[in-house]
Amino acid sequence: MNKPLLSVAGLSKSITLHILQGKVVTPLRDITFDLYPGEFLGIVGPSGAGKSSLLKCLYRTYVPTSGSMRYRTEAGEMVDLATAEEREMIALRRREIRYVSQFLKPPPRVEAADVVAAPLAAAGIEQREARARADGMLERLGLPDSLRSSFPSLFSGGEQQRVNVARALVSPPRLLLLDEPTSALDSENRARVLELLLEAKRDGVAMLGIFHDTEMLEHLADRVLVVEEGRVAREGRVGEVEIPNYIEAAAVEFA
Amino acid sequence: MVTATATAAPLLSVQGLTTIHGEAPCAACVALTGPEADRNQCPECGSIVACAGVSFDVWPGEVLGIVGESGSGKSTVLQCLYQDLQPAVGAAYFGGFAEGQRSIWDADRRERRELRTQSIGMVYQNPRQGLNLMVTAGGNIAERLLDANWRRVGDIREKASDYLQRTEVPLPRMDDFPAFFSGGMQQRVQIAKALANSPQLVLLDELTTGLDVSVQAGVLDLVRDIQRDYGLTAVIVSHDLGVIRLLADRTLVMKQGRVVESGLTDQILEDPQHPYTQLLVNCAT
Ligand SMILES: Nc1ncnc2c1ncn2[C@@H]1O[C@H](COP(=O)(O)OP(=O)(O)O)[C@@H](O)[C@H]1O
Ligand SMILES: [Mg+2]
Ligand SMILES: [Zn+2]
Repeated sequence: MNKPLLSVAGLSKSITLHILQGKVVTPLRDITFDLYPGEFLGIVGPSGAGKSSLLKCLYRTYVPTSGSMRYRTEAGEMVDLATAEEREMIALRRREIRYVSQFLKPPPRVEAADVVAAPLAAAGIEQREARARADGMLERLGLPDSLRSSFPSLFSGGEQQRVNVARALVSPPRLLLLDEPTSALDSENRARVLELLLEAKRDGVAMLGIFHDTEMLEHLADRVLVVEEGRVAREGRVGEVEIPNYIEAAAVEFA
Repeated sequence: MVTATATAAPLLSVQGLTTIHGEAPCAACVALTGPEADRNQCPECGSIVACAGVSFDVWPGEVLGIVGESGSGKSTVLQCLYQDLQPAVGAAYFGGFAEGQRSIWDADRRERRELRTQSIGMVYQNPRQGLNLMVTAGGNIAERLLDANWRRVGDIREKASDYLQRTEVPLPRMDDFPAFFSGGMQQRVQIAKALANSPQLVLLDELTTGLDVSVQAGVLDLVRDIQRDYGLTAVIVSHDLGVIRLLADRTLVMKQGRVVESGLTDQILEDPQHPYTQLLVNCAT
């Protein structure tokens, strides 16, 4: 049996809103789970349940309040992402951990293919080669030729999402965090993303994914965590664990 | 715990930097000022505590941002690093000086000059401070290269045109005086000058403040391109969170001369811990 890539234990997150008279919100309470290489863990739950906060803690966009998130690096060392030095987080983000969010804004005035090629360039891959691989990735995601050399800050939501997915997968990470990466896509483009994610999974990429679309989860997820009010309410295999219909709640979230 | 994925030593390590402006600072200056007291002027003696107890590291290839309202001490930190000011207290160990064994604030006159002309580049908020307006654009860059011990006129001329091209200053203007340039173009010449001799560390102070919005974008893109192509190591000071978001890997937040918070830039913007940072972020968005 191989070892977990990630062991989250007792993870909690509270936020003190000083500008609202010190009001405290607690998006996460005592979250515990393991994630193995090549495994896909689906995260479901109603809007406001804490799903995005969980991914943000793992990426350290949020500072966890307590608990640990032990991650096994490519070099085989254990790093607690909750307390790792900023320097180390930057290195891990560059090489091993990627994050795709529904609202991720691409940098302004950078061509789509260059946005996608950036992780390759950072890894020292020669510019023409990086750009060619980026183009190939965008082509697989059905982004028209004409858009590849335009600025994604001007794209539609769905086109931006595909740029973000392409950037995350252009060089396979070891851990991929997905926060509704297909919410703005039609079924044809969702299928394209699905194919790439299944490929990444076969290559051993471990993933945590928030999807409103249970069909995506049926294809991808080995297990599902149901998060409610910041806690793990249930967990189990897709089809075995009960997943209430949260779509209505989702509609409110977009309103 | 730092694994092999991270570089072994910071390029710059600043420890306890404190700068007090005043004829005769008293013993209570630091205690009576700061974010809690919400002032930087000592009520006992009237001295201004521009910054106190500021500590941070900058790693090779990293851009560190410093944000905070005007008067919070950001520029003071840069001026101390560039030897424009001598701090009251503190040490700064820099990989490009004495193998990082002595503080740059213990440098003698000759060493100070070397630090300024060779190892560290400064881009001032006001281009007039970084440029000699009575010397041509090309001449400004040549001055910098001569100070850095470049000797061959052909090399200097080539380097100057190379950097002006990179910073999108039209070549025919190389022999014009920056006094007659627009603010945006002056700023680009200043950036070209600061970077031309490839200093190990670059300090950038409010580099877009005072420029038209359309010109700001060009200057930001320029710095971002240089960051991508040369792996710039820099400290960037701005009151504009948009600039910090775009350029900085990590960010310090300053208020009344103190660092109130530091973290990964996206963390500072999305999960600010300090009341002041929360206010700053919420005002900007
Ligand atoms: N930075 C923040 N500031 C204030 N409240 C926050 C912040 N982040 C999350 N929350 C609150 O924490 C709870 C969980 O949010 P989130 O993780 O976005 O839920 P989900 O992704 O499941 O919809 C919500 O009540 C949300 O408003
Ligand atoms: Mg969410
Ligand atoms: Zn005093």
